[in-house]
Amino acid sequence: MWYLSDWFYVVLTIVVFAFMYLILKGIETFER
Amino acid sequence: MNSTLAAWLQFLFLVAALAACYVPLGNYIAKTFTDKNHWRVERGIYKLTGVDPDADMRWAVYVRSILAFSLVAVLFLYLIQRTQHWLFWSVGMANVPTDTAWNTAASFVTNTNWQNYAGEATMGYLAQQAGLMVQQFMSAAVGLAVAIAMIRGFTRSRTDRLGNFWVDVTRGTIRLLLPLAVIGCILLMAGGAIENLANYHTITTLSGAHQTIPGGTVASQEAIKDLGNNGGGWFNTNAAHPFENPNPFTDILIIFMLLLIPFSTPRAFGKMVGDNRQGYALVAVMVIIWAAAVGGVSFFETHLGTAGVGPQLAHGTYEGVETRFGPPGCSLFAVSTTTTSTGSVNCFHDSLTPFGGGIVLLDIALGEIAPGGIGAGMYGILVLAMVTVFVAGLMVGRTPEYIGKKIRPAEMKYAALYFLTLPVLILTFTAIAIGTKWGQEAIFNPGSHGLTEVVYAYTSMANNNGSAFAGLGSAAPFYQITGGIDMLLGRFLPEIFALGLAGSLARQAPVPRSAGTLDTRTPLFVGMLVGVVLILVGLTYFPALALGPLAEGLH
Repeated sequence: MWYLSDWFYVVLTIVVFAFMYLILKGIETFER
Repeated sequence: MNSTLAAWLQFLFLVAALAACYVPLGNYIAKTFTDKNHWRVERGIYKLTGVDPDADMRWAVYVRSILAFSLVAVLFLYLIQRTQHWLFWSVGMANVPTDTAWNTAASFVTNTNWQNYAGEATMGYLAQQAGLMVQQFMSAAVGLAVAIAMIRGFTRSRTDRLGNFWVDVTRGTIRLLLPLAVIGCILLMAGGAIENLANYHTITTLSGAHQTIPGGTVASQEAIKDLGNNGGGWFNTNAAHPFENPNPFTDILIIFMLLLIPFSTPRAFGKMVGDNRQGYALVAVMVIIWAAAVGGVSFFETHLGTAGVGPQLAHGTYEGVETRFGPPGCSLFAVSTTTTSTGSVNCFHDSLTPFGGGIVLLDIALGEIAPGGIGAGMYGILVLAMVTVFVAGLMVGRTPEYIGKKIRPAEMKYAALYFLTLPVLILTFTAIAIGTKWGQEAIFNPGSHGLTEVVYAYTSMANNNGSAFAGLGSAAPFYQITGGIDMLLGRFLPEIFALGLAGSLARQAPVPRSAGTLDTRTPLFVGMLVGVVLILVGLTYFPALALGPLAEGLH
């Protein structure tokens, strides 16, 4: 059974990695 | 034998063993990542996973590969822990609670191995082997891959390609980590560490009580845990447990293994850039800082005048120390585990004297560059070397160049971002913890010691060390969540900036040496680099250290 807190942590993981991906995209844009 | 003499002999033996491995292992690491040929097993893996091993990646693609690989790894490890009870080899363990499972997943994927749980009472054999141990190989290989990509920034010119992440991780795992881990496992088993898949045994003790004797593939996990600077342990007490670290032989073997690859990587750097003296200069910096820390902690843990009344009455700072190894063995282990990103312990760091504990905290705060975690130490000290060259250029009018590459404002911006990331994370999370009731509720010690515990926790997690000052209730959801974020950002943001810096270096044309070039192979440069390391960290963390361990020690 999947609990609500499981989804919370899955989403949290994706948010943290998305944040780092955005930093990467920002640097790439800045470099160009 | 006199314990001081034994400590010196142990230290000198360790230095001699590491020195003997420096050239052959460093050369082997360099050969591993410069070899034009792929092994048959590697070609099989590439074919299976659809990887083109001859495709070179831009730095940003290299970073994307790391992030994608690590995102999947965190989710997969979380899933294994949350379902372990229904899978085989659970040895009766329940599914791991959500907050612990997430914190642990973030912890092992980032090479931190911070543990909010007792391994022998929480993780079944499948979760240990297919979950945690796989990540101990993978996270170590990722760190090494980033260091190698960073070195390629110096060796390549007029290109934006830094190599292939999948090839680097595969080679690091198959050619380096696996063979060393097999040898380490056999040696640990020969020393008495356990390795089995037996069910736990409940026995009746002589006094009539019941005791559960755990089993496990402890030796194999211990080997990669140390070689990959992962840390943590199969058992809650880590390397203080007799099944994991049975005697002084295994103790010194463990310390040797956790220092082995980080101390040999500068040789690989020297070999790859075609100037071995560059490697000697960096390893000299590492040795100076590591040896000074060993001396400092040993002094405060064995000179009882600084330790308070209790230790003087007991003739030793034995609180929290495994009596088989004593304060000298604890000091050497504590420094080695915190100057690398290992974090496994053989004594209780919270029980170190205030100044001794302050030094191990400083070891981690230095960014673990002496010698540092596998790969992470190398790219960390390379960024610091560039800062040193830049500072020296400003001071004495030399051209800011390092290994034939100019250190321009673009490179310095990456270096600044690299070094600002960790203090921002550590100090911000610490401020939130001590300023809110969620954080305060789990601080069990008052005053400066309580502050030290919080600073140590976030410093350890952000730097991917994993050791802890106990006394902080880090299993509280607040610390599980903020700690997990701290570990993920502390691992991958510096890697993004390091690889961006490497990409910037690789695009440059090489600069020929001239009369204005600062020689970075001399004792003068070694001294300057040590100074920059201490000043940079000192200025950043001094207020926190002053209010924490220094205030406690001087009280």
